[in-house]
Amino acid sequence: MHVVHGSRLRGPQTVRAEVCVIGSGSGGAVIARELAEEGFDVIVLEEGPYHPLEEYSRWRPMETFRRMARAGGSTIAVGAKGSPTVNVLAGSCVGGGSVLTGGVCFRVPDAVHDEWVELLGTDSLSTRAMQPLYHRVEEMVHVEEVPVDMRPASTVRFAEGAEKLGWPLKPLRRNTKGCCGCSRCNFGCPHGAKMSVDLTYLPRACERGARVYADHRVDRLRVEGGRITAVEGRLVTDPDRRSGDRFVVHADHVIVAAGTMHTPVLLGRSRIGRRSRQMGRNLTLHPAFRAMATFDEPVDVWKGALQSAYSDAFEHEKLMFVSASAPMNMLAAGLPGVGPEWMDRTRAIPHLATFGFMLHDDPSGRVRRTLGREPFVSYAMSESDRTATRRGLELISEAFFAGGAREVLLPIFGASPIRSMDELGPVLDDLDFRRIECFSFHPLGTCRMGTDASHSVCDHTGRVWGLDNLWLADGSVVPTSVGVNTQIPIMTMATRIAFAFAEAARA
Amino acid sequence: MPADATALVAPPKRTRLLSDGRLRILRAAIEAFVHDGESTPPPARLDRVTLDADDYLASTTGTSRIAVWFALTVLQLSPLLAIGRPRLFTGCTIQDRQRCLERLERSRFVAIALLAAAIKAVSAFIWFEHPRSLASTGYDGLCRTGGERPDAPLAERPGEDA
Repeated sequence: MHVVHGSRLRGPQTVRAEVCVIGSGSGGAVIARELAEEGFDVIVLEEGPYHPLEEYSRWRPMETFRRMARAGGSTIAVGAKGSPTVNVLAGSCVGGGSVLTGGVCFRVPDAVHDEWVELLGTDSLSTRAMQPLYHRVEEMVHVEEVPVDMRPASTVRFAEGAEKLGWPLKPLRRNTKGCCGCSRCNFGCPHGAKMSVDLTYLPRACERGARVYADHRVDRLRVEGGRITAVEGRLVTDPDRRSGDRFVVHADHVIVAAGTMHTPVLLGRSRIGRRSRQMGRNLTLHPAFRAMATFDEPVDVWKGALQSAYSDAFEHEKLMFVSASAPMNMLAAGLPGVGPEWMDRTRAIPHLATFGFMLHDDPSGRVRRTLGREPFVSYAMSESDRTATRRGLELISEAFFAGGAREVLLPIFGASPIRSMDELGPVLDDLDFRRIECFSFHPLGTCRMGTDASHSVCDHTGRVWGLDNLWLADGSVVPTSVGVNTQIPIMTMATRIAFAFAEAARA
Repeated sequence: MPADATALVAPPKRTRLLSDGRLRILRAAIEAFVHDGESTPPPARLDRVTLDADDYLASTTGTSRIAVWFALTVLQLSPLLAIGRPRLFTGCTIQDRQRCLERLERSRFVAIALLAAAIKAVSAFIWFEHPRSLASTGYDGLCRTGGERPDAPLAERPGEDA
């Protein structure tokens, strides 16, 4: 795949294209490929660098984070009103977040599709209508079931516990081909077995004539006469990632897929979509929590697929349990103690099992523009989500103990491990949510679709209200939290938007 | 001040964010975290890890950088309030630094506990990427299928043999 590196260009640049896609992640890459297939002249602008598989497959986890995650993986949603502060992971590279996901593939649950049909008044968002789009996406990224024998012993032990309690785990589906089970998918698969968009959609888009420009940071969209007339930005220098020379892209149509955090920031900076007062609001995060447990025998958490099994048995309580691992250094960071105690615990990592759960949360967050480039993100967890979190901690501890765990380490800063369910009660009674270690990999909804300009930023086809040639195609347009991993939902929504766009552009 | 705290060797191509003074605090914290009471962490590895941690911090958000800057400042001044020692953190013994970090980690003030967690996280992220530190966790570098990994996590790089 040929990629233009902005960091290697000198002097101001001007480019012309029929369609300019901003962002090369799960939304941007998909729409670029679909439109290139339809014969459009497409250019993809990506703020992050391009690192081919041959490069990132040799890096250590933190090297990948430094070079491919937004702000080294340090983006946070600041907890408001006693909520936990959430670490939000997003990609900043060609391929975006898809390079850094665990590869879990879910379709949007039927109940959520039904909710969308009701909210937006269109049957085109129903499960039935979107079925062919799901097929198209899943075929492209090679979605397959994770075989049971790819589960690490750590997951097997948790599964045994959950089964004893009456909620057996189910196999996950992921976009992989030839996974060897080394548990580091979310730092770029070293084997190239995860079918991220840099290995699937973008090369196909390029084969059809699309051009991919890395190190191109978009500052604003120029609006004149109800249309976007230019995309303006700066080239990004390497390795210090500073702004360099200017560039301008003149395109007939612009599609923003800069991600849930940055799409509203770019629109706001361009003075677009402010009338609705919804831009940057309605943020959902699917807050995710990881608990660890110590077993007497080794469970080698790293030997197997990073994510292999799940349970939706408590979906009605807003909970989805998903197996999850992490590199050793990340696991070590979550272990309690200092000096001898901590080092003893790190030496026992082979005995450490991990499992996680995430919340189908209420829209409780907000993205605001700041003076700098990064947004200020706040998140005030709702009362029902707090209840669900407590319940999740209880269920995950129960399953670990039922699976034979000696102790459970809850994701609470400064908390001691618990050795029985009796010890859990006081912990939950005194729980200060600000101390909970919490992650998000699925932010959604900051420029949601809707039926009118006063309650949404774009219509159900992704077109921004009041602008003829501006479309959105990333997680920001998703109208509600979906309760499952968002890679396939975003790709499918982008496919739908691509077809709607092609039809409208031709008309 | 610990004897090795000033022996910071700067490898090429690293981005510097922290001042020398704050690097010394960070190094002293990493040393306290990883000192197991028996063997002393190799000074050259500590130097390398400290600079690597600084390079990582340079890639993070402005908010994170401010938080780390603030955390290191609090840490440097913490021995008096945390363990009743009227000294700077970098001037304490390993044992006192460990007690101090332990108190901060368990502090009833959430902000203090989170700042301590942030320093610990950065220390762990970088320290346990060194092949020998990584091997000390019992990690064998093998995949489920037993194949070799292109990233060779346990292979040392030039200059990394400390």
